[in-house]
Parts: sequence; structure tokens; C-alpha cells
Amino acid sequence: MTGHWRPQGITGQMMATLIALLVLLLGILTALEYFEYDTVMDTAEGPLTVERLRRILPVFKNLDQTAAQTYVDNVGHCHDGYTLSPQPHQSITVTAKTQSLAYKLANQLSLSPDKVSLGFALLHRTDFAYKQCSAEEMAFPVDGIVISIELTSGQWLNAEVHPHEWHLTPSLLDWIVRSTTAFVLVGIVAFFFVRRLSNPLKALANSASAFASGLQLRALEESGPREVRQTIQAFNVMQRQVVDEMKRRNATLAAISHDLRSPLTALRLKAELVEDSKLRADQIASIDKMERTTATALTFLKGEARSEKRRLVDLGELVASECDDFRESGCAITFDYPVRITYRCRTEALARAVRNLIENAAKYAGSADVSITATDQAIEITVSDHGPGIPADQFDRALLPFERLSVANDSPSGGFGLGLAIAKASVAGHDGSLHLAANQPSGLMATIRLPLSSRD
Amino acid sequence: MIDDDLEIRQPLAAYLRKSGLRCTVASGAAEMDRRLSAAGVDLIVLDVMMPGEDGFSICRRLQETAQIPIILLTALADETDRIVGLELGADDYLTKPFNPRELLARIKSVLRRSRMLPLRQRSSRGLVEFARWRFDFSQREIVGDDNIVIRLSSGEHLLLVSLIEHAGMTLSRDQLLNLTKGRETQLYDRSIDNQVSRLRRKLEQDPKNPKIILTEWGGGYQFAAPLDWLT
Repeated sequence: MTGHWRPQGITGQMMATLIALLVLLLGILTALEYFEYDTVMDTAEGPLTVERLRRILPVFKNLDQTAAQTYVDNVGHCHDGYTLSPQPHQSITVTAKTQSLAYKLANQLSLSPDKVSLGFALLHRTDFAYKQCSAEEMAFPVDGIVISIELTSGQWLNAEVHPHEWHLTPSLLDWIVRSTTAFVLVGIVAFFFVRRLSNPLKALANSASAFASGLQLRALEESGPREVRQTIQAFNVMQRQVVDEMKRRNATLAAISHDLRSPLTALRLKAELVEDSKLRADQIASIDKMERTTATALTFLKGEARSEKRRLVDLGELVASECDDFRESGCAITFDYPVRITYRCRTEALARAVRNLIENAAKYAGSADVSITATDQAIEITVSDHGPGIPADQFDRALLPFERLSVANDSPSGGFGLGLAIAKASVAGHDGSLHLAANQPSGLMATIRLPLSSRD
Repeated sequence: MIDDDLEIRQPLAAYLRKSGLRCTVASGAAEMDRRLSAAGVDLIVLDVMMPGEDGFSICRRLQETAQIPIILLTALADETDRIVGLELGADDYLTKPFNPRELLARIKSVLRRSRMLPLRQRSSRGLVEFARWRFDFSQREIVGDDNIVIRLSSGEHLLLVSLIEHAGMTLSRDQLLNLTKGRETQLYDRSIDNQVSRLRRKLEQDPKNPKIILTEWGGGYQFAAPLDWLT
């Protein structure tokens, strides 16, 4: 049993528990009902017996012996058999209990006690109307009670009483149908109550994963039972604190990067005035690198991806333009796109993501193969190279900000460790994803996957 | 050149003078007003973030009194700032830290435009329509009448700006190279023909039979489509 058939959701699990409990309860009640034997005494004392006798006795008032016999022969059936005899039924065992019952019956039927005789008897299939009983209905011989009542004609009417078993059909079916209906009604009501409980939890789970994936702040309404409300409240507070802390840190970093701009501009200007052309070029190169670093950091911290408006863009041309820029600087980039693909996106953010991927390929491999494909669900932009690549266990790390995996960063072209992180954030801003994989035979393959829900 | 930061004012003035421009500096609005009446000023480079009267306010004031082209400098790379600046009548906009050569190129470009074009067109926001396209000088893209955005490479963008600024004139490859000199991205001689053909593929209905960018006899290019400047 793998257990995968079990419902995973809280509603499902609670409903399953409830249904199991109801089925168990139904089973227990059915079993109790089924095994509840009435003893023959219980049956004889029961109201049905008196009722039966009250109904049949008056009939014999106006019947002669022959007619009475015919009547008895015809009226009897399995559970309701009679005989007529000149004497009270013989071979009965009389006890104190049967005697007191005899008195009680005589009283109830307004007869004098001596006209009622009552005792235990072993009854066979040949007695009374038992011939009519089917084989499954009763087992013979059976311990029963015979009640004999003297009629006005002087004859005795003998009525049999046998222990009243629980009859399987149709009462059992009836019972099951009725209790099942009740349980279904209870189940439906329970379902709504369980939903009331599980919906806030479900919302909490969704909110938590949204927060985890993109730090999207979504305050939750506090609802549900007390513990759930407390959890939601704590989650809201935690969410806000994390975001506030992130904002403070980002603001600090952004302020530092921002304040560096004026001195950098001054440095750049002063460098232009240096007479020695080699020294000037050196200084400008260093300052340019610093400028790029601060600009990249600001881009990352500002989260440009979300502020830009989405517009309908020819994606092929967008990727082609980025490729062309790299080709201009002497990089070998292959890119062709057979069909026009338009997509509603943030142009600058997506262009930056593509540019960063090509930039990495250009930096480490000196060339890149770029392609774009569209399926029914998604558009994929793939940038692959034949450079040294990244070990497979470092793919996740490579996407983190400020992670630099290669020694190439000591070179002047070395980055800031933000290129892939910015690309990932840009793509995430489009509800897409960025994947790294190994290229064959060597190198890295980066794939931007954009969902097609926002495609026009 | 108006900037409150001495660290920028001095070397920038030195650089501009070294590049053959006449340059007067001021540290704020009051000093600018004094100098402005004395010297014949062709163009103002104006820092936005200054104590006292800020760049935007000066820009608005100057636009009402004197018709002098303005290039704004700011530390904010914010799109709304750029739009506010251009709406207040600035001719161009540069964010710090900027490449001094880029500033020089922009100064030359704005001066050229201010001499060439009637005032109304000069103070447009660099937003122009031609054929079925809308083009904002500050954006690396053209937008078609179907509202689909077509991205331009930086080379194509630069080329298109230069061609439109000189619409109706034939520009040789050398001239096109010269126009883009000092820009952050430069065009290379061998690539101009490539850029033009790529630009044509994006702009023209039939790239083999161009109507917007024409090839002139002798190897030059001309932007021939009628321009509709948006203000």
C-alpha cells in the first residue's frame, strides 16, 4: 500500500476521517440491531402478541367447528400459525414466569385466568404453519411458547410464539438506506464546516508560497478558528517585518550606490583631463567598471522588473537586437527565428535578462547560440555556449545574487555576481523561470521560460 | 554649466574647454542669472538636484524668458524625471554618472538641432511619427500602428536618431560615424551598411525597395519619410 490514494488536502483528509467514522458508526449500529435477539419471552410479552390475539379471537365467536378449522388452516402463515384442539396444548413447560404472563394476557384480553394456558414448548417444522417458512428464515426445532385460549365453543385455540429474529429483508435494506441518507446529510453539512476551517488555511498556504517565491506582500484576512487566526496574524506580522527589513537593507545599499554617482562622475571627468593617454585609458577603464557595478547593483535593488509597464512586443526582434549589439563588439552569436512571436512583457526588463545571459556566454565562451521557440504553454529563449560551463551542483548557487563561481572575475570583464540574479528576477517578474543546464559536449545552457497566459 | 558640486563643475568645465567649447560655470541659480546676462550663451548644462532653486524650476523659468537649449543632468535614472524634464522644455537629459564624451556628443547634437530646426520642433520631446511608426528618441524601440513594440539594437537606435535629426539630408558613412562619435555605443565603418539593412528590415514594408531610408548615389543614406513631431 503506497498510500498515494489518500487525500492530501485538509478538507479531503477531514472529510475522509468523517466518512470513515460515519461508516463505522453505521456498521456498529447495524451490527447491534442485527444481533439483537428478542428472547421468546420478550416476544410473547410484547404488544404484538396481545394485538394478534385480540384480532383473531372475535372471529371464532360465530364459527362452528368445521368453519373454525377451515379458518385456522387458511389464516395461518409462517410467523402466525394456529391450531384448534379439544384440550389446551400438551407438552408445555409451565414456570412461574409463564404463569404470570398467562394472568397478564387473560387480564388484557378480559378473559378469566383459567381460560388461558401458557408454557414453553419445543416446536418442530411440522407444527403450526411452520411448513410455510423458508429454510433460511428459521432453524427447527425452535424453543417457543404456546398460548392456548379456550373459545366459547369449548375448543382451545393454540397460538405459537417463537423468538422474533431480526429479519434481513427488507427491513435491513430499509435501515441502511435511511441511515445512509441521514449520514449523507450530516456529511454535506460537515463539508461546509470543514471548508470554513480549511479555506483560511489554504489561503495561508498560498500566501506563504507566493511570499516565498517572490516576496510579494499579501496581507491575509484573519478568519477561521482561533488557532488558525493566530497563525494568520503571526504570518502577516512576520511577512511585514521581513519586507520592511529587506526594504531597509535595499534602501541602504541603493543609497550607497546612488551617492557614489557624483564622485564617480567627478572622477571620470578628472580622468579625461589626464595628459598621459595610457594612464587616462587605465583610469577610465577602472572608473567604468565601478560605474557598471553601481548601475547593476541599483538595477537589481530597484527591481526594475516590476515597475515597467507590459506591452506587446515582437520577441524575436527583441532577442535579435540584443544579439546584434554583441555581434557589433565582435562576438560570434547565432540566432534565427522562423516565426514571429509576440508577447506582452516589460521590454527593458526582458531585454536585460537576455542581454545578461548572452553577456555571460560572451564572457566565458566568446560565442553563443541563441534560439527562441514557442509551444502551446510557453515561450523559451535559450542561450547556450561551449565555454567551461558550471558544475551541475552549482546551478542553483549561480542564480543567487553576489555569487561568483569563476576565477574569471579577476579579469577586467569580471562581473559583480548579479547578472544571472537580475535575469532571474526579470523573468520571475513575468511569472516565468530561468533554468541552467549543461550544454553538450561542454558549456552552459540557460533557458528563459515565459508562460503563455499573458501572450496575445 | 550649472552644478552645485565643485568636484564636477571644475573638471567638466575644463574638459569642455579642452574640447574646444567656450564654457562659463555657475554654482546655483543666482550666479547663473548674473552670468547669463553678461555672456552670450548658446546652451545650458543644468544639474537638477541643487540646493535652493532646483534644476526643474530653473528650466521652467528659462523656458519662459530666454530661448536657450538646455541639457539636464541628474543622479536619478527615473523615467518620470526624464519626462518631467523634457516637458519643462529641456532638450536632452543625461543621468550621472555620465560619460563626458557622451555629454559632448549630446551638446553638439542639441546645438545642431537648435540651429537647424524651427523652435517649436526643437522643443518637442524627441517623439516623432513616420510611416506606420512612432519613435521616442530616448527609447531603444519603435512602436507600430498595431501597438507591437519592435526593439532596436543600440547601433540601429543611434543610426535612426542621426538619420532623423538630419532628415532630408544625405549622410555619408563618414558623416554617420562622425555623428555617433563619443556616444556610448559607436558605429563602426564596416557595420553601417549592416545596420542600415537591419533597420530597413524592421522599418520598411519591402526592404528591397526602401521608402524610408534611401540609398543615395555614392554610398550615402537619407531619411526620406515625412516626419510628424509630437509635442
